[in-house]
Amino acid sequence: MSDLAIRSLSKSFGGVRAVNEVSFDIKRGEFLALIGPNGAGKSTCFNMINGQLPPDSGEIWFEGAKLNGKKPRDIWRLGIGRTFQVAATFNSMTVVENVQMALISHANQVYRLWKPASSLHRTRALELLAQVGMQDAADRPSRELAYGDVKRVELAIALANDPRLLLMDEPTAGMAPKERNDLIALVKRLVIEKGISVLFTEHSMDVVFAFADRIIVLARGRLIADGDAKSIRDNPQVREVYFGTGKTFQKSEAHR
Amino acid sequence: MSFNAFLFQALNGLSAASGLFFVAAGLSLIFGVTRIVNIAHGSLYMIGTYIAYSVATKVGGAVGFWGGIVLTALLVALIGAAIEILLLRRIYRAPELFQLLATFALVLVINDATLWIWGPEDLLGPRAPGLTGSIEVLGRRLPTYDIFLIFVGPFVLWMLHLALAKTRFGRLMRAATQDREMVGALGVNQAMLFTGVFALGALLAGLGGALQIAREPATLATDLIVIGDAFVVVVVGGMGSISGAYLAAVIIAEVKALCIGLGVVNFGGFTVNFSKLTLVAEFLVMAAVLIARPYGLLGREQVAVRSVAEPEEPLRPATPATKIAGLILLVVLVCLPLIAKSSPYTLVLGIDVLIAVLFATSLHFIMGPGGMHSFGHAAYFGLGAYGAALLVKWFAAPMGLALAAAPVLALVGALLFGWFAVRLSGVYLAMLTLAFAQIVWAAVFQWETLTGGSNGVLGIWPSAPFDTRGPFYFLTLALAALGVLLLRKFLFAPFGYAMRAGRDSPLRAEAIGLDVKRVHWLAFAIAGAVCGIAGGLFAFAKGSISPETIGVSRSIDGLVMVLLGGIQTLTGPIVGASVYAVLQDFMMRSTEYWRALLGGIILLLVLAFPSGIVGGFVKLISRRNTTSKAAS
Amino acid sequence: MMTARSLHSLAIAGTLAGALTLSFGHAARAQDTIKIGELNSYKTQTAFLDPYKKGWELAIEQINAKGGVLGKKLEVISRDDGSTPGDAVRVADELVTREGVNIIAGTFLSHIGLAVTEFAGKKKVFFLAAEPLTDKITWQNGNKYTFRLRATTYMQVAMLMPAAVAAKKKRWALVYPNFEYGQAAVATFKEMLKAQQPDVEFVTEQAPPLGKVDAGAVVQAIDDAKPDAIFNVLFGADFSKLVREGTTRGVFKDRTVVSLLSGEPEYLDPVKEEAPVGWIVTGYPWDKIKTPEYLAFLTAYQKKYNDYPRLGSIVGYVTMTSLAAGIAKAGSTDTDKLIAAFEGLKLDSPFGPFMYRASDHQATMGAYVGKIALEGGKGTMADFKYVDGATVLPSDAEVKKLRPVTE
Repeated sequence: MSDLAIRSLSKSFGGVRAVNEVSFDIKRGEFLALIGPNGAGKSTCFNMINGQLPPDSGEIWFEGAKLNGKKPRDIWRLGIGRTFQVAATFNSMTVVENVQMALISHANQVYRLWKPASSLHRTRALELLAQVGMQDAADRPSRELAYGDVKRVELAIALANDPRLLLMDEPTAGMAPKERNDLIALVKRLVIEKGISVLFTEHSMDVVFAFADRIIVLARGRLIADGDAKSIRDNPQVREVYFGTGKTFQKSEAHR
Repeated sequence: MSFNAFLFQALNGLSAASGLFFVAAGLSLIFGVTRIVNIAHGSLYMIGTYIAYSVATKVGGAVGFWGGIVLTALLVALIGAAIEILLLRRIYRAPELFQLLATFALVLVINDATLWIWGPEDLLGPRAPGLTGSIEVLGRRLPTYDIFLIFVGPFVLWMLHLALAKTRFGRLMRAATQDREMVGALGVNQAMLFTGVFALGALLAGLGGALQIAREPATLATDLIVIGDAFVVVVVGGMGSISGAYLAAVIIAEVKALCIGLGVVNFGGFTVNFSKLTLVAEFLVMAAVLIARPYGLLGREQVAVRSVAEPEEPLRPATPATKIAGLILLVVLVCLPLIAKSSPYTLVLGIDVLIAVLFATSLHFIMGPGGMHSFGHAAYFGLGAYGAALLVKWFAAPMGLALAAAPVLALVGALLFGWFAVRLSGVYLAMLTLAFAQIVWAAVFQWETLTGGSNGVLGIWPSAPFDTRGPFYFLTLALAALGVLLLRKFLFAPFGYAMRAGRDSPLRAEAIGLDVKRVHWLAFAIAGAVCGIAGGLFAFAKGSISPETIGVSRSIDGLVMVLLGGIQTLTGPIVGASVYAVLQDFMMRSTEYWRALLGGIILLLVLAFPSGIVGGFVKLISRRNTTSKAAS
Repeated sequence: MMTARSLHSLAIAGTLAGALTLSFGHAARAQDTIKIGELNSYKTQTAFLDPYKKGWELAIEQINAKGGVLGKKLEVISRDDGSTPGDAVRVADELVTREGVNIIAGTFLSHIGLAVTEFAGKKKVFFLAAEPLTDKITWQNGNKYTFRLRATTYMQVAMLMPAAVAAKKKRWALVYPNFEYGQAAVATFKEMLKAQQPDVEFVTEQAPPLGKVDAGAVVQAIDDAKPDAIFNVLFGADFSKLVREGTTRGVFKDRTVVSLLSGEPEYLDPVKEEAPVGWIVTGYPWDKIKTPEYLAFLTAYQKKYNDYPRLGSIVGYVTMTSLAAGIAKAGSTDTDKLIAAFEGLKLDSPFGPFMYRASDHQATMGAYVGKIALEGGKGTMADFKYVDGATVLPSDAEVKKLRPVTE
């Protein structure tokens, strides 16, 4: 059974087809990487799934519900969590309050006017922080955190609504290689524990080949390959897209 | 109105548009690059009219007039540069909008300085040498100076375009308008750029002022009249867009000319005097434009400027010590009537201060934690005041009922206006709230049979047992304390957290299921309702109200109070409102030039506490704590 | 150690309490003077109120030089009223509660005058409204405690009416500032003219916002309506703009213009040599009045200030001489006695003798009606005569119907 089903998804910007007839599925518990060179349409694809951009045509299904036309917040309520390419928190709150905010929203308590928010779901929030190794920083102002820690907190926030699917847009962007592997390993461990499916885009091929269960490749808006690490590595079209443009895997690595 | 009359009025509109354009263009440039809402821009224009008058009359002749215009523009540019270097440069790192407070202080200082230098009388300058007559157009006489103005506006627009496109300074300005951080990253001397832009903006204001002396007298009321118009033009055209400013100036001037041209029109027994619409025409245009095009006619969506100021501290619940301090304050306030036995005025002022506190706190609720900078908060104060007063006037309602109705009417207004306002952000939101406030003001002002028009509603006195000062003070204290504590409670509740989440990062808030617009809309409504209570109390405290309860200056007073206290703290508005209200009362009594003095003190406070009074104290103390910790 | 939070809460407590104590100040001293509270919009109506202040200062100086009233000197405690009714009421309250006065005087703008009128009625304080023109102060919203000095909107219009009727013009254009004063003046004008000349036609009405007249468009619209005559209520900067634009565009040529207040030096002087000759106006030809009581005032004023008086100077001067006369007549500063003394109080002024009517508490001090003329490059009035306010006021029985019945 597939969690997320993408069918013939298309989007144009001013005549340029950013995403062109893309279809794929994610199975329950799958760790799926979406890769492709710059401008391939990864982010556009992503933003259509999370509801930020309306698709021109095509359909997005999640557990039998059609996502087209739904707002990001409604998609989140269906059990889809997300992280952002540039991580950030709610800067005027402490670390644990950031997570509590998501838990409050998940419990539909946003419009409550009386009980202090800091007293709600604190235990659960601390648990989530513990899972990402941030429990010690719980009461610090989140604006003081190092970038890597912000990424972890963001992950804790994304897990707050017990998502069944997690969308991660370049989760390791802006991180050092060591941190990067740690973070993805953490994600992988958590999703296996919780049985969450993950769709992530990624520049770092190391990470992709090491962790992804399956990889799909976008180039100029089209899906050109779909398979496991080995088949992708050997796929001539993929090789051409990457090597042909002069951007080797290694070089794009070196840029990061 | 005949077709020729219509065409001719369109010409009148074009000449008026040039005047509007000059002052708006400068304001737009300054905002585009520095993100400063320069309230003192109208004052620069006013100085322009006075300097040009002096040169034109002292030197005389064509040299005095035309040379005076050039000289004036240059002098005002120098003044602008001085303001930037001496004042604004020191507070760029302050929280957003704080610079507004400094420019507000400048308005007060400049107005009194002008009075001191040029005296109280209106000064009508000479006609423009060479352009004193009129020529016949469409069977009517059009002054030659108007024709000159019709062309000089587009000419300056064209020059500005050239300057922006062809010079390095111009290119930098355009780049900075689009992405200020990038320009900083390119290693451009930002200080020089800002000074230059401020000088250029001031030059345009001075030029605009100088050009008007052939048409209207230099008067001390010019500053506030001009700044209101200029903001409208800038926002309608789109912040930072020079062509937009011209387009907007033309549209607004034409709409006004058309209203005037139409005059009194009969619709089958139903008479409308369109000339009365000029009172609010520009604000109607602005509201319509902002609802249809949230970034103005030619404006672009603003790149969110990451605030250069430090973000605020997380909210901490009150410590026992704070609670005790709060309790002491409350006890002091409750005991005030005892202290006031020997000096009953304490209660009079106390009531005004408490009302101001409630007003400012409700504004801070949406401005600080909500990030919605309302420039029209007086609308809800006024709706509350009028809601209560009209119930008393027309239905002889008892005070309790009238006071209960005050927040209800304000709530309805806030729900309606907020629904539109929360769709915008930043300065556009601010201006839409201002437009709504002006529309309410105009409606109250114009609807004489219901509201008493400009004279307002009289005879709204509290009923027993609150009809004497002491009990009414207690009532005010109780409602103000209740309002302040309630708003504080809301801020600590999930709702308040959701407000801040929506402000800190709307995208992320949406991504965890928050309906940011809805949250902010309801916040707007809550703030409006609480503000309405303040308005209701005000009506009963004064016994009468008039449209000025809704006026722009009350909205600005609110902003000043919030910023003065410190927008990033919950106690800021309380301190800011108290200090401002008491200071103003004290100054008004102590010197003839009280505005200059008040402005001067605000300037000192601005420089000493760039994050507001309370913000400054908090920083001072936390710094001391860290150093003492480090030492031990 | 104290936390930052608690400290700053304390700071608030301090500010609030400290701030409020600022208002304690001096306790009431032994009354060796008679204190009069005065408040006005000095910061926003400077052109009128600067001479006004000079006027009342001169009066106080003269009164005290003669030994004051009831053996005590007069002391004026003057305040800015913040130019808003809300602030004005607080300032009035401050004068009463903190300074201990029971007589207040002043105000300029109608809505502020009315707010203080309301305050005076409620707090039972004697109030002499000096300048505000709105009829409501002495009629619809009048009260026992409030008197008013200046000739009202109604009176000013009534003074001009004979000339307007005599002009025998059929098509009239009306231009007035869009607030109560302008609206009331035009309403009165229309009603009175219609009564005396039933075939009159009002061809257009222009009501620009106060201080913001778009003069070019407005005069053009008037011209396009092809009126035979124009009734103007604009004043101040609006008046200057109207005159300049209208003259340049030839709109006033061959048209009768009747204009309220335009003969007052405050408004006429700024237009200098462009003064619209021939307009029929109410005003104050300061250099042409030759009555001995006026010349005495003029000499004293010019000697003290080395400047000529404006209408504001007269209003300020007479405000204080009225109060002095009233207190002297009452023999006390007791509020009720003072009210009784003011009702029917007769006194002399630079404009001649006048009285405060008992029926509506309105002073009958009049104004000069004449035509604007140009002399030595400056505007002045010619063919003028003094119109006694008593001659244009409705009868006691009529105003009784207008005033609230609660008294």
